[in-house]
Amino acid sequence: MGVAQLCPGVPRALPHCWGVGQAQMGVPRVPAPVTSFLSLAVTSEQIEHLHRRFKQLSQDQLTIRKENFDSIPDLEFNPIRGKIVHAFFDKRNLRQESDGLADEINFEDFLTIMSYFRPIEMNMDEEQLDRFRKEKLKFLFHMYDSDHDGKITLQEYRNVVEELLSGNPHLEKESARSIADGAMMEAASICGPDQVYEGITFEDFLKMWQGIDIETKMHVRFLNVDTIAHCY
Amino acid sequence: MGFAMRAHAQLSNLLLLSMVSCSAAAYGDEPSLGKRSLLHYEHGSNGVDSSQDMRLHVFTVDYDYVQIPYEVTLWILLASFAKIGFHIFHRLPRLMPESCILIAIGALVGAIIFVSHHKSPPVMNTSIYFLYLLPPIILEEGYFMPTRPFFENLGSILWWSVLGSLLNSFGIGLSLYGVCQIKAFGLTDLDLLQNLLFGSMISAVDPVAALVVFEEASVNEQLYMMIFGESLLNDGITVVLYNIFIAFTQMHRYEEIESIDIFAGFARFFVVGLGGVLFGIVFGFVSAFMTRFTHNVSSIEPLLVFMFSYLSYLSAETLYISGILAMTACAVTMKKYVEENVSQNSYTTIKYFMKMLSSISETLIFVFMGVSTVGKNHEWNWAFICFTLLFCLIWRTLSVFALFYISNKFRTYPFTIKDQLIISYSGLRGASSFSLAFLLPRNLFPRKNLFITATLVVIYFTVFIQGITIGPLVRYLDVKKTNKKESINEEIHVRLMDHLKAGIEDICGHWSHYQLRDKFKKFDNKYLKKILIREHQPKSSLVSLYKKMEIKLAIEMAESGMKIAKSSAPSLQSGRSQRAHRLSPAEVESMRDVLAHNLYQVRQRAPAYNRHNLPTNTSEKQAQEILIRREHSLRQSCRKGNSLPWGRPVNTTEVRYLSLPQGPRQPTRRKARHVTFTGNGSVSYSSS
Repeated sequence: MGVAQLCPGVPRALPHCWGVGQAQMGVPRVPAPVTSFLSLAVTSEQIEHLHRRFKQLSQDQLTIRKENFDSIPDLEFNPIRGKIVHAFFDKRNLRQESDGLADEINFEDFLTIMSYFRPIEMNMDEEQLDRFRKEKLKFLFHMYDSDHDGKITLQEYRNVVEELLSGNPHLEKESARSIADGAMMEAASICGPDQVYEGITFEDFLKMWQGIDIETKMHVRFLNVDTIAHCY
Repeated sequence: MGFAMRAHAQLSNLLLLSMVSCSAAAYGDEPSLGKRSLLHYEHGSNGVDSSQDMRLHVFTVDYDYVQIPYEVTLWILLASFAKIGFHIFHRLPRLMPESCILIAIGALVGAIIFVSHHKSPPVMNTSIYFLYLLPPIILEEGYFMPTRPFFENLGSILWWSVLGSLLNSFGIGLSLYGVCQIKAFGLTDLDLLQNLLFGSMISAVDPVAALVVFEEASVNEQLYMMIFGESLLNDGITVVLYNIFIAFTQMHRYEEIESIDIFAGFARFFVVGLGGVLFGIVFGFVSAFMTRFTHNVSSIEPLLVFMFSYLSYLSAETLYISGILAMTACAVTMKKYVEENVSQNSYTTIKYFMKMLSSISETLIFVFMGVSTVGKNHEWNWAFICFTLLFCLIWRTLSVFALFYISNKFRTYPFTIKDQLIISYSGLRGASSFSLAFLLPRNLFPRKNLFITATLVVIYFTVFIQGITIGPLVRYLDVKKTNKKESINEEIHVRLMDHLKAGIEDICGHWSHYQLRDKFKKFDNKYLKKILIREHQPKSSLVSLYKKMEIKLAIEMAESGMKIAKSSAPSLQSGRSQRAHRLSPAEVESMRDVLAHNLYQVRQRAPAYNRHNLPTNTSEKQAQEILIRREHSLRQSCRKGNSLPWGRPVNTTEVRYLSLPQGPRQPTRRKARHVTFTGNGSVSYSSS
């Protein structure tokens, strides 16, 4: 499995509480590579917590569909709600070889998506750090590239900016459009003028992010289990 | 180039010397002149007839009349000359912080006054300091605070400033008390309260010099914010502690203090602190609301800003709550909304005026410090002074390592040992410690001179020795640098990530402070911005950034007097037919140039805190680059033979900025003075 290759040399022990939960739900045991992949930064309590959350969202089913995400009230106000939900079902993020959208995801896929938001460890070496960074940037790239053609075109960029600014009802579409145009031109100045026509590829995307520290920004703090606010 | 520099240096030296000699002359001549005119008046009032009195004196000198403002102005001018000279020698700012020069000037003036046996004007007493000298400094600190990094690190900053100040004050005070108990040093008459008070006074840090060094070395944002936040809150907390201890000293004799008073002291600490912040927020909202209506009287906008902040300070002081924290909170609250409402000119005025006021205040305080240095009010006690210095360093290091050890457990990105070392080394003392020492009431503190001397020694040591060596230390330790690139792309990406993070946290069922920030922003957009900002137009920061870039570009273009084809602006003109056509290479080139210029013209939004000057505007260099690029692209397009957008007949269409309301379209209305922009309809790209 591709997952195992990412984190070699990690102990492959299953957390014991995992087995308990699984037996109750009747879900087949998650293969060891997944937990080993996650056990770097995600402890067994956190896996259990995420599992509980998964059960909540899926209403005790085995899989989640897009409609299940509607039950989260706070997500309502997020301007890029659509893109976030979409990202969960994007097969490229789920590390599946095919393309397009999955209809439903199971817990393993859920964890895979969550793993993109691990905070970086202090003891990572250069190569791991670089790979880590590429993963996160790839996730972002997929969020921009909604038609899955591997390039961010101007129209897609405009979409993103419009969505970002859609929280403000008083902003005209024109502004969003010109901002996106401006950003595209900026990108073109970094990567070359052809990008305006053909769209930004992932390599150009990487170049754009050369100097910026994405690792420090794109992470979710997994705090103690006790401090969760439930969505009900 | 070198010759010009030397000429400059010589000129500035000359000016300096002449200024100094003028002031010396003024001080020297004054007593005799004053007496002479006094004599005349006395004779006149006696009515004794003498032939001299009946004559009308053609030339009289009355120095007493203008003495105070005259000398104050001289001091300020002297300091300004020193600053000019300081910056002309390019190497000097890299070696030492600007505070060093100010202190040196102060000492110089003090030496002159001392030598000429002049009675210096009473510039500093309690009311003048707290009412006139301190507020501008605080206001400027609060106003120029970068809000977003501050609030992102708010927990750590609060933890560090509050507990750090408390720990330092009590630590130093108690240790000094222990030292005072040793009879050999002759300090046994300093009781516990006095030592505690001294501890709270001496732990007031003023790390502006350190901040300048950080900014120059572009250290990472978290480190910068910690020091910045500490300096901001530290003033308020120290003054609160100081007042509490003074109240204790006045209220009871030492033996009568009961535990109830100590609890009352703690409670008062919180009430004063939090009350001040609340006060400030209320005043901030009121003033932001006021600026909504100043559309037609834009010249009073700076007045509103300054007066309301000052009012918040004074009102808080009336109720004995912390005016400093009130003013800081007011400035922070006010800034966001005021910046949207006021005109460009008012905005610039506010910025510069604030810097000017705080510069004046600081200069005066430093000069007075210099005057005190070379004065007679000293008492030297080796033990007290050395131990004070020692304890300051020790306790700061201890508190840094202890507090950060704990707070690192809650941070995703803990501060490394290197960071902590830097933070502990940047504990420079400055004007606030000195002022508090100077203002001690002498009846309660018979050994006030000792305190003043000790404070001065600590200040001189930290500013000169630590200030000079902190630059090399930062470079040696190679602290993690920041990489701030201001561009639209970055803004978009960072925004996207914020929302993404909040979304993921919602999905995880988490409650972390990104949610709080989102909730606040929602509330802000829905209610606050509607009430406080003009024309009901809540603008997002993306749009503001873009707008500012456009305005800047337009101003640059106006100044360099060139015509350009503004390709992005026409897309804003609604109603124009959207003619989609393929971009010609020339147009691409020109658009690329336009936006490439925007890359380095964006207003500096990264932390750039310098009390002494605003972030330098390298507009001259940029204007030159624009001209060069413009010529280059013109030449290229001519060679290619394409029809240039700006080769077509010029029609004076106005440039529509994002901020203008979409009123009835008046295509012939001229907006900028000599700028004509050609627009040839909107350009849209065909996607592949």
